[in-house]
Amino acid sequence: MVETIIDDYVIERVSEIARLKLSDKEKEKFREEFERILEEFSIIDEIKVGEKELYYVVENVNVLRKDSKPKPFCNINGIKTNYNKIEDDFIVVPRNL
Amino acid sequence: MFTRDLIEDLLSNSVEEHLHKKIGEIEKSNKEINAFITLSIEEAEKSSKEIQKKINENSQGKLSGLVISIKDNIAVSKLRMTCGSKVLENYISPYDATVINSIKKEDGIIIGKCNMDEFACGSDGTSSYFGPTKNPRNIDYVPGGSSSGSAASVAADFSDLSIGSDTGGSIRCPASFCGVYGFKPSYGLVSRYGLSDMAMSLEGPGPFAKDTYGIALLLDVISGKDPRDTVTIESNNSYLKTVENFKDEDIKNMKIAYAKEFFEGVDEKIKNMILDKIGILESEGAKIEEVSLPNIKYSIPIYYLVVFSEFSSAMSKFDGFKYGHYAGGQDIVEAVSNTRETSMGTEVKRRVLLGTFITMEEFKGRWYTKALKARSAIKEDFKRIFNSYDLLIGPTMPTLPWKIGERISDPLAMYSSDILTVSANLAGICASSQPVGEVKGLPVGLQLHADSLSESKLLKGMRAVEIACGGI
Amino acid sequence: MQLHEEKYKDLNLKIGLEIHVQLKTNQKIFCECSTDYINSPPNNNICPICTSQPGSKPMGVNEKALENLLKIGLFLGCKAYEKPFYVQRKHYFYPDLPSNYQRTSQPILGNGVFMGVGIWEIHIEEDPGRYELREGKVDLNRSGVPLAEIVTAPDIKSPEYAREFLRDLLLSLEYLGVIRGESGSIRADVNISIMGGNRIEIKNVNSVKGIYKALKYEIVRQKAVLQRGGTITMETRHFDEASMITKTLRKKETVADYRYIPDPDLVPIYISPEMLQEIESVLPESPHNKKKRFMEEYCLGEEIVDALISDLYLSDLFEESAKNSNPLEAGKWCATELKRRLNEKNLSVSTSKITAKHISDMVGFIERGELSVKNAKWIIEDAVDTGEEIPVLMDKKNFYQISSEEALVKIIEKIIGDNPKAVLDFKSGNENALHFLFGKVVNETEGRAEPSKTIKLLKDILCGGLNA
Repeated sequence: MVETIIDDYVIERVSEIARLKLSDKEKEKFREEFERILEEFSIIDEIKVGEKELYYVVENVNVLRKDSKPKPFCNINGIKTNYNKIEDDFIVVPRNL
Repeated sequence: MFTRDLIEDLLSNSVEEHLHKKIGEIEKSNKEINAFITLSIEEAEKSSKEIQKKINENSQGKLSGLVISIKDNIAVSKLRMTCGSKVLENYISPYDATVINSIKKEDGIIIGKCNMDEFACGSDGTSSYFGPTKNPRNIDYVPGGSSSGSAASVAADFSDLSIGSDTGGSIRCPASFCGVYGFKPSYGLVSRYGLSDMAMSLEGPGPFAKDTYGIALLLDVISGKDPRDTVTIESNNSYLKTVENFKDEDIKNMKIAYAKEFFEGVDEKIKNMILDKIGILESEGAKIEEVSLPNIKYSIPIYYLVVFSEFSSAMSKFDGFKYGHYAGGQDIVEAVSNTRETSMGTEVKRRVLLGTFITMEEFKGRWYTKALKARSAIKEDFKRIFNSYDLLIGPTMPTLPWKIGERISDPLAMYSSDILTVSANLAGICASSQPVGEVKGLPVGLQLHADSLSESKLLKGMRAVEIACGGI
Repeated sequence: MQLHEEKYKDLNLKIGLEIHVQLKTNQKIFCECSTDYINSPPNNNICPICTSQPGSKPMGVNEKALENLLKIGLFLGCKAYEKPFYVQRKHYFYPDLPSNYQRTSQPILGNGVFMGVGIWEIHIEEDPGRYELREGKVDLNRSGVPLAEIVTAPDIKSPEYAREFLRDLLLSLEYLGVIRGESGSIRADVNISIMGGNRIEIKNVNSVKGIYKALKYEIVRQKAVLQRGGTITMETRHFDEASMITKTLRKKETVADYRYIPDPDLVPIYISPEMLQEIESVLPESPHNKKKRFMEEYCLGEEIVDALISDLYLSDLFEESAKNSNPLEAGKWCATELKRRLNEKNLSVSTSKITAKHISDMVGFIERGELSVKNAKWIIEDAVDTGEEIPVLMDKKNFYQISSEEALVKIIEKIIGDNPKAVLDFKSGNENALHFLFGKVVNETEGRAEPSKTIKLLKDILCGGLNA
């Protein structure tokens, strides 16, 4: 098992990239947990791995789609009623000045 | 065959009456069991009348008015879809998942959306924002997860069938704990369009039923190539015939393996029960041999590393702007961070953070890429076995269901309970769980694996166990 | 080959572009919504897939989008890679990106060249929606429209060349019928370094003019920094359309870890040699082949040919006009004056009124001495603007030159007769008198006397060659 160290700076960066505003308590809890979990998981270093990553377990390739006449969706209103805030048909979000 | 008799019954008696019986059960017991997040009674009654008309004209679909519950991470148009989370507490799906289209077309009656572990992140059914589901066989105990409500609804007679999803055992585990039949189809056999993504390369919808017949029936309805999901494969859709044509003698032609690693760390009583069933099959003429799956001990780390990375990607879409809970903030960064922080549960956050971490450029090679390279080792293990054997047999879960609240929520402990189920998802093969007995009143599940796209073999195996061991 | 280099000679400019163009298709890249989103009210050209509803999955890549992208790549002389490529997820949070990741593929083709600029790679991706920053409004109509991203080598050596490069590239892609021609359908990230310094990236510039202005500004800005004794650090900037300057992006927005993963929902794509051959067979002549042919068939010089071949409309017009006129002349005029006029007025061959007949007619008049080179430049401008026939324009502007010997001799004799003193002056060795007499001929003909012939005839007659 390889020792894994996760410091506060890393947790800070990860939470920023993941857009999660963690409390200090959470940050410490997760930091400690992650160290433990990843240390446990580092057992995969033992496996003799092949050269290629297995991204897909199916053999399909080249699933392309013919470009035909557009088919408008039948329940656009159903999509819009879930918008948090709508104004003149636009989704309202904070400004970025 | 229970489900077959049920259909015959529906053809001669009232569809509506049958539905009302289910509604009756729900009204009596769901408050306690908490299998449903949303009920759809009015729509169901409307459907039942339409289907009755079709039955009278003999133009009914394959499901002929059977009552079906749907895990709440599968989209049913105009019904709430919460994924068991505060994030989507008030989200109304604007579209139907492909499996729902198929079920509606074949005249299944959708009764409601089932409770589940939040965003499928759990193995016991207690992490839902809408409260835990209880095991209908003993309400002090967990029903298993993450398709907890689906399994419970079949076990409690709230529905005849159910559709859940299986990412690492999320159908098989609750099927085992609740004492019902659960089936994880081969990856690509059933369209994932409309299944809220959690771990895209591992998961898929699958059926719950009270017997092999019910599983095969629903499988015929939901499987097949779908242009809305590029990983799907053509299906021959004659699984029901496979089950109907199965004869007792077919057991003699079966070559069944059992992996010694799948019995390590398993509860003694469960082990003995499974070995007992294996003995029965052997006495009926099946060829039984021990094999080894040497890489199984790595399956939990590989599985969870893949899950973390895909899950964090899948969860990116939840920013509160287009749907779901919104907390607001000064600017786009703060608004999104506040929203996600205040709506996601602990395990969800944990997986998002870990997934983000292991896909960051400086850590990717060490974790994400390595896990994906190691994944092929698991796939190879199974390929080797299925070259020589039709089926792999063993227990579904290493322990009996535990009491609600008993397990401390230490993530590593939670993860380790999946040890017997995750490999099937890593390899993309099919697997099933069926009840074969009970210990202290709690159900025990027997798990079968078959090679990818060998559903027929798997269903035959299930039928063999059902016949030889007396399905419950 | 790159014009306008002189004033930037000592700056060692390295400019590279990452150009995004919308591919011409009926449906979006991963769903069946229309790509004709401009005419739709906000958030009305959407579906569960392009708004990333929970549970939605992308459909297979739009075949036409891929085909059009392959056409672009082959046209630019790129080669396809031998192995399958993945569509990846590029993660970043932004309100116009419904999934908060953009689906963008690995490189599909690479190692091409256009106008002497290397094309590093081309890949396919989905367009995000539109986020109006200042108003806090999002419209997802555009989300999912297919884009080709063309990444060039930093071989461009001036803002002017960047502008010409983009202009010709877009014209040719329009000619091929593979991109949408509406305005706003090009966006680029611009990379520039001066004097071997660090690279500055200017993200998301929305027009050819904007790209030109951004580059001009950056050169001035960077020179000023260096003159003050500062250094240029690698950074990402934003181009403000309103003030036409570049600004630093806030640090938070520039720290990007996109955490690329192959999209598990989209199986790999392999471009077979057969697929490529089929596409190549329907493509028009590549710039490379056209260049070779023009130089051999028409004996045109390299610089002229380079200016012609990069704009397919222009090269077609040239070839048409060369059927009825001297190709060397036609080529010269098309490559220089015509191209310049079109650029100035922001027109193309197809959007202006110029035709091949204009060029061939004009060349005919020039060769017969009836149109001076100086006046020809005016004629081209008028033809581009009004489309009127050359003879009509020449009449209107009174450009018909007199170059027939008979007519000129008559006029010269008259002038000589009217100006005996000047004749005597010339005969006694005063060269200026010749010019004086020439000026008189010019006046008499209202400028239409063909100059070199007139001077020659004057000299001949004065020196007693012809009858006096």
